[in-house]
Formats: sequence, structure tokens, C-alpha cells
Amino acid sequence: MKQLSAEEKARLKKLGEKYLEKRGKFRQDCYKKLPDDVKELIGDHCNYYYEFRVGGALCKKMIAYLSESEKNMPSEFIGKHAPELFNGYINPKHKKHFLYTIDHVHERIYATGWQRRSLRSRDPMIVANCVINVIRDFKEWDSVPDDICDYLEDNLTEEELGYKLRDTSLPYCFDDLAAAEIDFGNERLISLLTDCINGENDIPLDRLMFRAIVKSHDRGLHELLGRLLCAARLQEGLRQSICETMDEGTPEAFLYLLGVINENNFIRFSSVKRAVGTWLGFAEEETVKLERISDKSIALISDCLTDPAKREEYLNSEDSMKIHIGLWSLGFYESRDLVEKIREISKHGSRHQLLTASYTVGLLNVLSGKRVLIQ
Amino acid sequence: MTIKVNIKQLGKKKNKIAGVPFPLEHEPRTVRELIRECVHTCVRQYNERAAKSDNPDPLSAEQIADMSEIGKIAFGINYGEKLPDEEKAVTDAYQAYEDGLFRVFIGEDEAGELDSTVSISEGSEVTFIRLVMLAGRMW
Repeated sequence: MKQLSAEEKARLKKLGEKYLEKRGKFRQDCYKKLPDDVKELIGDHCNYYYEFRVGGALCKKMIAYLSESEKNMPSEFIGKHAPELFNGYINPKHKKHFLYTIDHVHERIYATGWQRRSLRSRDPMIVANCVINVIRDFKEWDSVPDDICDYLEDNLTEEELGYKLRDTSLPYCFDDLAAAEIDFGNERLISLLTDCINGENDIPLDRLMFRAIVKSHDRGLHELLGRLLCAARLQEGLRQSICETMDEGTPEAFLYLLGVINENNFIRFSSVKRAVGTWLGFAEEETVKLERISDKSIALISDCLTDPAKREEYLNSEDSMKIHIGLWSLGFYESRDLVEKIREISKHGSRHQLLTASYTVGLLNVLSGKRVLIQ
Repeated sequence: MTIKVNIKQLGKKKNKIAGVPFPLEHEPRTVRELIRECVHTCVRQYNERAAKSDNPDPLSAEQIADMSEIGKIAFGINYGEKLPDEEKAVTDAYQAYEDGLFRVFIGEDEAGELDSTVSISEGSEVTFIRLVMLAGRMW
């Protein structure tokens, strides 16, 4: 971003406030024009960690549609039953990014926030809830004018620039927009992100750029992020930002970066231990729990995610860490498999396995967890 | 041989430890050997202090004045029974050097990679500079 004087910044920020007001009013008008069932669908958004909602008629219909076949895609459903969303409520220029995002929610973790766990699922109810939350993100946080590269390079109108200046971070849906653009093969964006990470342009580095990279399928950018992780050296904060973001994208990106951590023994850094704690569900206020995380944990994670035979062996052991990571690794790909395994342990497991599994239940959202516990 | 060791923290004018005579058993020819020799001396001195924990050397008035500046006056003895593992301490020191947690200067020249050659003679001045991690994350 070019250098601006304090007066210029203040003037632009005022314009940004007006732009925000205008945008809010425009979105409200668009909302009023939406059919009632779509309004009801949007109202169903929830916090993924605590509970899922079956919601209104359209949400139920989406769950039923997704349940029919794994080939049924959320984008088809939204395109058919809620096309009005693109009347401006969601920027029509970002329609393809939105549809791409909702078709890929199953390969990204479904929980958000500091209590999130690295669980993915194709469960229709979870996917439907994710779709609703993506609608909310694209509606509330999409301050990116039509072209994401222009946004990064500040090729904006004064009021858009003023609006951008209001916040020091990129808008929340930036990662979804950018991940879609990367997968669509937008060379300009890939080059901007590469130069930004290499420190060859003036665009400030942001955590959402890391999230966009791990959500995308671009191996070149994954490798670039791996090199940045190696280059972090004394920048513990940078290492923390990368490691605490790497679980939010695709399993492939996670496995690649896990390999980098393993190869360079980065587990010796407390930021990496904290990140591992976040993935595994140990990240609580008692940071002392992180002392249990060592290079052994990284090896176990790697074994369980890549070798089903090893995972099975660990699940049949009496070692709490092995059992917990084995269960977690099932949920890493599909949380329904994790629930199924906990059920199996509750019926046939040893006392110690059952106790460990009851701890692992905490990885699940509260309602699913309770359901499993009750059973 | 004996060298003179300074320990410094960036941003502080005063050396944390200034010009302490430091005995080395062998003359180091590389940075790796210098680190190994220094760790060896530290571990040996630590173990000697631990062995005399029931009857420690008295503190001089100067030592007491120095330590009062950092807020704790002690004999520098760990009263636990566990003695340090020298091999592990050396490995950790190599790793910390590679990670950039500390830098070494011989006279006014910075020592390079672990396997770079160094020229150290009796009375050479060696400065260890401790660096601190940047902890601010992007959120």
C-alpha cells in the first residue's frame, strides 16, 4: 500500500465509512428481495463447534438432497433452489468462487475459531451448515471489489480504499475467494502471492493468504509456504501463524507441511507444539499440557494419517496418546468414522481404551459428542 | 588455554557477563569445536559446584554486588541430584547456533557456519550474543 499522510488516511476512512453504510443498505435491500425460504436458510447459521441445526424447510431439503448421493453437489442445490442469493446479497461477480467454495467444504475442516479441531466430513448436515456459514461469510465479509488482484494492489476507488483502510487485516472471505482463484489458475494472483511471500512487493503478508494457499490445490504454493516455514528462523510468530493455519485447508496441504515439520524437527519450537495442541484438542488454558507433545506425537500423526495399518495397530494399543491420535486421524478425513470407532470401542474396547475414547469425544461438537456419550 | 568470554544481549549497552577468563581444554579450530569446548567447560564447572553443594565457595563482595543487580544472590548451585548430560547439552548448543538463537564473535569478527575455521589463541576475546525470538503472530 502506498504511503499516505495522516490527513489523507483520515479523509479516505471517512469515505470508507460512507461506503460501508451504502453497502450495508444495498445488502439490506437485496435481503428484502429474497424469498422467505432463502431468508430462513440464511437465518440458520450456527457455531460449528457447539451445535448443528437442521433448520428450516430449505435447509432440510438441502440435507435430504445431499443425503441422496455423494455426487449431489451443494452448488447444484443452491443454483436451483436459491439463485436469488446472487441478486447482490452475494456479489454476483463472486458467484463462481462461492459455488466452488461450497463444493469443497468437505475437504476443509468444518469448525472455526480457537476451539476448532481438525475434523472434516461429508455428513450432509455438517455440509449444509457449512454452506450456510459460507453464505454468511460472503455476505458479511466480502468487501473485495470484483477483482481480487486489484484489491491486493489497491487499484480501487477512493471509497473502496477508505473501506480497506478501516481494517488492518484482509476480509474474512478472502481465503475462499483466493483459494478458488488459485485453483482456477489465476496466474496474476499466484504471482502476487509468491512475490508477497518472497518479500518482493509491498503487499502486507496476512494469515488469510496462508489459509488461501492451504485451501487451494496448488502444490507450488504449498512448497513456497513450506520454504517460508523453514525461513522463519527466529520469527516464532510467523511459524505460529503458518502452523496454526495449516490444518484449515486440504489434507494434502497439511500432509506436505507436516512433512516439512517432521523433516526439520520443528517440533522443538513451542509455537509448533501449540499448533499441534490445537489440531489434537490439547490447546486449553493449561499450557502445561503442551509438554506432552513431542517429536513422538508428530511421528504418530504422520503414521496414522498415511498408514491405515499403523493406525489400526495404535487403536488396538493401550497407549493413550496412540489411541487419541489414531481416533483423531480418522476424524481428520471423516468425522463419522471417528464416531463409529468410538462406538465400537465403547462396545468392545478395554477399560483404558474406553477412557481415552471418552476424552477424544471432546473433539466433536457438543451435540454429536453428547449423543455418542449417551449411547 | 584460557580465552576471555563476553556475553551480551542485543539492545543492552552493558555486557551481561564481561571479560570472564574461560579455560578451554583443547584449542578449537572450528566454530563447532569452540562451542563444544565452551559447553564442556560450563558443564564441568557446573558439576564441580554441584559436588561442593554442601560446602560452596564463599561469594566475594564483587559477586554479591553483581548478583544484586539481577535481583538474586546465590551460589549458582542446583540442589537437585540430576547432573547435566554433556552430549545432549552440546547437541542442543549446536542446534541453537544453527537456529540463530545466539551468535559468536571472535574479536570483532562474526564466526560463520558451524564448520567454519576460527583462529583462537591464548587470551582471545570471544563474545556470545543471545538473540530473542520474535513472538508477534499475524492474526
